[in-house]
Amino acid sequence: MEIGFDKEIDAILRKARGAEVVTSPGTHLDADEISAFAENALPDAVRQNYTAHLADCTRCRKFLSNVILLNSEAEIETASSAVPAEIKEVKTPWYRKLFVFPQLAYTMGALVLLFSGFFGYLILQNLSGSKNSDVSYSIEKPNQADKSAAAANTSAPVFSNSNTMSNSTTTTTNSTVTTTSANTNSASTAPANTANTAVLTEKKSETAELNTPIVNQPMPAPQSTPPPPTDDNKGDADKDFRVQPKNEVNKPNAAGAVREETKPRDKENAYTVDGQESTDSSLSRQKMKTERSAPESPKKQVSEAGATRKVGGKTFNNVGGIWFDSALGKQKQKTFNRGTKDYLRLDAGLRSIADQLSGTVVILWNGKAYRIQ
Amino acid sequence: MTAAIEKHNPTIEESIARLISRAENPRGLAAIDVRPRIDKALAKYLFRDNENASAAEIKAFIEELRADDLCLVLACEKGDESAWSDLVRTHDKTVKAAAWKCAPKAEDADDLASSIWAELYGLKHDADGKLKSKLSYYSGRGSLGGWLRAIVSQLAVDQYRLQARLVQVEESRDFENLANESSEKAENSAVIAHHDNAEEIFEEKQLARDVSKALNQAIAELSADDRLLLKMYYYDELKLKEIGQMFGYHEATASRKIVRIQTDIRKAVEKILQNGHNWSEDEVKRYLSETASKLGINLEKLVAILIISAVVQEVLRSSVL
Repeated sequence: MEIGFDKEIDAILRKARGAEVVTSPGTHLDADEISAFAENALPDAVRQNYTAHLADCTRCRKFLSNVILLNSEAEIETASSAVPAEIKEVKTPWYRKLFVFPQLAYTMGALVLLFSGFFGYLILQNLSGSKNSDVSYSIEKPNQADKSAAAANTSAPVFSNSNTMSNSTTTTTNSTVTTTSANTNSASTAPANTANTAVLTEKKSETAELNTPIVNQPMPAPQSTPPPPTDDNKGDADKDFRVQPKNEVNKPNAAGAVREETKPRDKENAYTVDGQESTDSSLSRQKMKTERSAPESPKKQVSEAGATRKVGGKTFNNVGGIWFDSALGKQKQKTFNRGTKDYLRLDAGLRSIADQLSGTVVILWNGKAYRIQ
Repeated sequence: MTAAIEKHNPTIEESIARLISRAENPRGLAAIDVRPRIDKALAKYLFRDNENASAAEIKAFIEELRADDLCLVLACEKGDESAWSDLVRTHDKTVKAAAWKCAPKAEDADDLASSIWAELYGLKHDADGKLKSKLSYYSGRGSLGGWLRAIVSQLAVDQYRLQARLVQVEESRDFENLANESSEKAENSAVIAHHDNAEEIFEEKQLARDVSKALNQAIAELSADDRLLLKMYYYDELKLKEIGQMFGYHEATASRKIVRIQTDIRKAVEKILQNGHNWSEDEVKRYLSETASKLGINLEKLVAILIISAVVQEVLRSSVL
């Protein structure tokens, strides 16, 4: 408010509006005069005369005020019409549009559908997950009596952490997870997988040398566990381990004194080849669940074990009856069963490769690992 | 007046030639077509109060006329069909917009606009058999758009004066009844004052009458400019910007003028009440203060109620949306 603004007089004058005395002296102004006066387009002398009339003539003043208001509104309209249409449009934020009545209904419907789909997907996932969990594995319980045997020749998993474990000390083998599998220890990966815990103290350095290159090698290679050697053939076993060439099937120790105490969780899926239990001391049970499933034909797998095939520009190694993509890393595997809808939805190229390889195939496709069985 | 025009004939002819050349589209008009209208405008606005206007003043006057608008109107009067179509095309929106603002009901707006065009075209014939058109009153001093708005406003006032007055009285009475009812229900004596004491009522009325007289006298003593400014601001509720444009100054100047006028009125009212009605200085100040505070309270309450209701309405509207 301006300095010196007189609120009292202002209020009194506003109240006096209703009590205005209507006067109309002389001749009224015509439209041309009024419009010219409103636009301040009259000569000064005429203007003075008209001002005196307008100051006292209520009718003409009202007429003038009305014309001024109309002109003012027309100016505003002209100004607004000069603004481009795109700018003139008031943009409503998208989140506000959601709450406009018809959109709100559609939004709620869409949300219901979305959540239904999500829960349905979860349920399907759980169902397929339970199917895929038909995995057999056994845990080798720590057994003081078998310490020496286990230390002699316990096949270690290829994973780096297990190698590290096995290299650190021979006693770690007591907690090794063993899994029954076909006794087709992949010879091709055997050197890399030699986390043989039967490393003697004096051989530690050599073992370390062997293990070092595979520390970060992610290739999962479940191995059959040859029977742990007895104290007598420790040296042989170690020797075998160190000189074990690629593609050479692990042979059971001549002593054949397998004294592993295994507890297969799922006897139905647990299988043996040639009457031997294979052990797999791979990473964790969780990983085992996804990597291990019942093979279709153990005999066939035996025949293909250690084989390498190139399909669709990819190299596959058969390890324990499972075809592993050589490019496979530590990706989390997603399991698909052949013939299922989910499987059919997979990329055609991926399915083509899987179809060319019988049995379980683990493929790295577009950066994701797929386990097709 | 005719003598004055004759005296400045060469100047006027020269100015008319320049006016036609100034027009973007002279529409084939010759000086002879324009001359009668210029003479009429000179007589009305220049020579009426100053018969001794100089040639320079005449030149300036004609120079200030709106050449395009005037040529368009003159061409229409002459019966130029293309000029008519141009006039309708460029100004029909103006006429309709003004009609919508002036007509009391929406359905009357189109009728009003049609009436305007009929008046512009001409419904009656003069002695010479020519159509008497409203266009003949356009001088070219103001814009054609402003003139058309004034025509619409004038015609609307003429057509709907009685109806508008009835509506206004009805609305005022309704509002008064509503306010009284509301005040009684809410027992809110502050909004509308109620006095049980007859003496108090009489005294207050007497005081109010004295102040009203003093106020009217004070306003009458103002200059014509100030009076018009004050009335347009307080009575017609025009904005200072609009008033300033009309007078040809900035709204800040208009604001300063309002403050000065308030001061003048206060002084005049105090003087009139003290000298004419024997009020003491304290009485005058106390009465003005009390009156203003009562009005202020009432106004503030009414404004607050309006604002709250508007806010509630907006909230409800937005929540529904």
